Amino acid sequence: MEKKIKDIWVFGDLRNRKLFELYINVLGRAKKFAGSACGRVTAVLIGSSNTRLKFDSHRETHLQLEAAADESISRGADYVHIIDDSRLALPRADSFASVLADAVIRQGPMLVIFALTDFGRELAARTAKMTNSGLIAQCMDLKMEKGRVVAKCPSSSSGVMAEIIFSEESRTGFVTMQPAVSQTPEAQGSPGHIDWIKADHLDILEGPKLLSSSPLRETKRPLEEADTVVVGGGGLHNAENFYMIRELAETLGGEIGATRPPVLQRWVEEERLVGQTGKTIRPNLLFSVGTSGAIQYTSGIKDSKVIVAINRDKDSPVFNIADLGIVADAKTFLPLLINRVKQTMTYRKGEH
Amino acid sequence: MGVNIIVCIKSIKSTASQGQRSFSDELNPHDRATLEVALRIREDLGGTITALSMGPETFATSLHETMAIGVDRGILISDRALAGSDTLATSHVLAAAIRRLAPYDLVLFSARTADSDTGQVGPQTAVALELTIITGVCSIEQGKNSLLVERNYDGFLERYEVYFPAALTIHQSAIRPRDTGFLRIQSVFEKGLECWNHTDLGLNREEVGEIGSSTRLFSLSQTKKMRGCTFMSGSGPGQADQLVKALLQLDMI
Repeated sequence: MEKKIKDIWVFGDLRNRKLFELYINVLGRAKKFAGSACGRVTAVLIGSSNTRLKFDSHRETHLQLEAAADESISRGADYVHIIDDSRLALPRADSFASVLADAVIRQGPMLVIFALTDFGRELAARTAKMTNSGLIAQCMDLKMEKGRVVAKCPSSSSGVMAEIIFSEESRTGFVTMQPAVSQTPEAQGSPGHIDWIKADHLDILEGPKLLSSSPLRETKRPLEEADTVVVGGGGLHNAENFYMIRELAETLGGEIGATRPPVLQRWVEEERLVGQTGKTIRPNLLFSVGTSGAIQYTSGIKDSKVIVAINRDKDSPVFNIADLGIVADAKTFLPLLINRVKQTMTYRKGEH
Repeated sequence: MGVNIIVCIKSIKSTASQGQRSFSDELNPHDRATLEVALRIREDLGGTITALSMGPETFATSLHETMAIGVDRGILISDRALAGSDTLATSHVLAAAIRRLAPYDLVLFSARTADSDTGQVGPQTAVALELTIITGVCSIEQGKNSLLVERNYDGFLERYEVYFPAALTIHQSAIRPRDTGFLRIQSVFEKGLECWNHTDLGLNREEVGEIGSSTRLFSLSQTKKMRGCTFMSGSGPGQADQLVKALLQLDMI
């Protein structure tokens, strides 16, 4: 029985090397999935081979179509479709979606996968809508089960993963994938054929006027990059007690975070807010002091390696997500902990 | 004159801080920034703000809250047929509702919601309406007859000139929502909420809800990594001691 080869497309982001590498990560994941799904992977690149980009910042970093196609093949793509038109010189989700939707409707791939970046997310949403297709977002893993594509994604509940499928009538499914996980390098794709597709006949959407575009400096993100974070909550009762959070953080060489009550009470700056409407952090060591354990907060810390919770209520839900727990009043316990940590640090210094 | 602004809002489940058994729906925190953008534009240019939300009847609470904050009209799109909608079906319904509210100048969405990070509904609704949309806007200025908007798009700071009618998805960092403090409850009851169902929007059952969706939930599973909490015993100094020992063992300090 002949199995139909399934086409898996991956959109290639050419705006700069960093974004290209995120696409390559996703290309690798697609290749692995294709192996188990009797499929082949086609990289889809959109742009213009003969137009000079308007903005200097773009020109400096944007990859060339042909070079990107060659590199895609050497890093796993079996085929490459290049959609080349002078109107596509500037990467825009609106114009790219028109041509991509047209290609999807004509060729009907099984899947179109995008790296989960701002651009990928928007391009996927637009193209899925234009082709009346389903879009599965934030996919962590893809597999085939009983002839269907199953995507594993985080759900709105902490600690629960969802498996999502496309409806029976679906022709093409769209997926945005977490790009951060890099794969072991893939072997060269085969046969490595490049297809140049014309977009002449297409009506390409002209969107709002882009006045300027400049690369942002890599901003410092102390909270997201810290190895140790001490988060203080409303249970600390006042700014004076909250100061102990700073002291503990300093002693450990870490950063401070907070839940909403301390921010509302102005014991700490808004930038320190951790949770759904604040920052998501995953340090090695996280202390959660005087926090209630509400989902809006814990969703922002659940991937920390080791979580220590300090709360005077033994039934507090915060202990459900902690590895080490202390049932104690933060006000009295923190000074003891700070002292003990200081002693340990000094002792170790003395040993060397 | 003035501008007619439509703000699409969402409710999310909130858990009472005491336990996790009682649920009530509350306004998606990200929508507060989006509402604030609408309020400021109306302060400068005049006009009306309509808040629109698709969901079960419990979403009415959030709409009432938006009206108490200053929204002129609150519309809940609700009926059983709408259950199980993915973003494709949701955007189809929202677009039908927005068409019914024409003429409009500006449609606003939040770039994210607190319970789902997809950011898809805004762009998909704009595509259905053939409306210009800029996503992730973090700053808005008024131009001559236009809006000048900025966003951080994958590390590129982009600036656009946008003419009405248009749609924007607002990033939380765009604006600080006002302190709503004591809400004007009385005015809410005077104005009243409107409720539309899919037939009011001229849609068939097949176009909405689970039937109108192209993705389905297959299963839910607990992630393998479940934390078991080890409690430090004793009191005060004893607990501090135990904790430090445990952290040293784990090579954490």
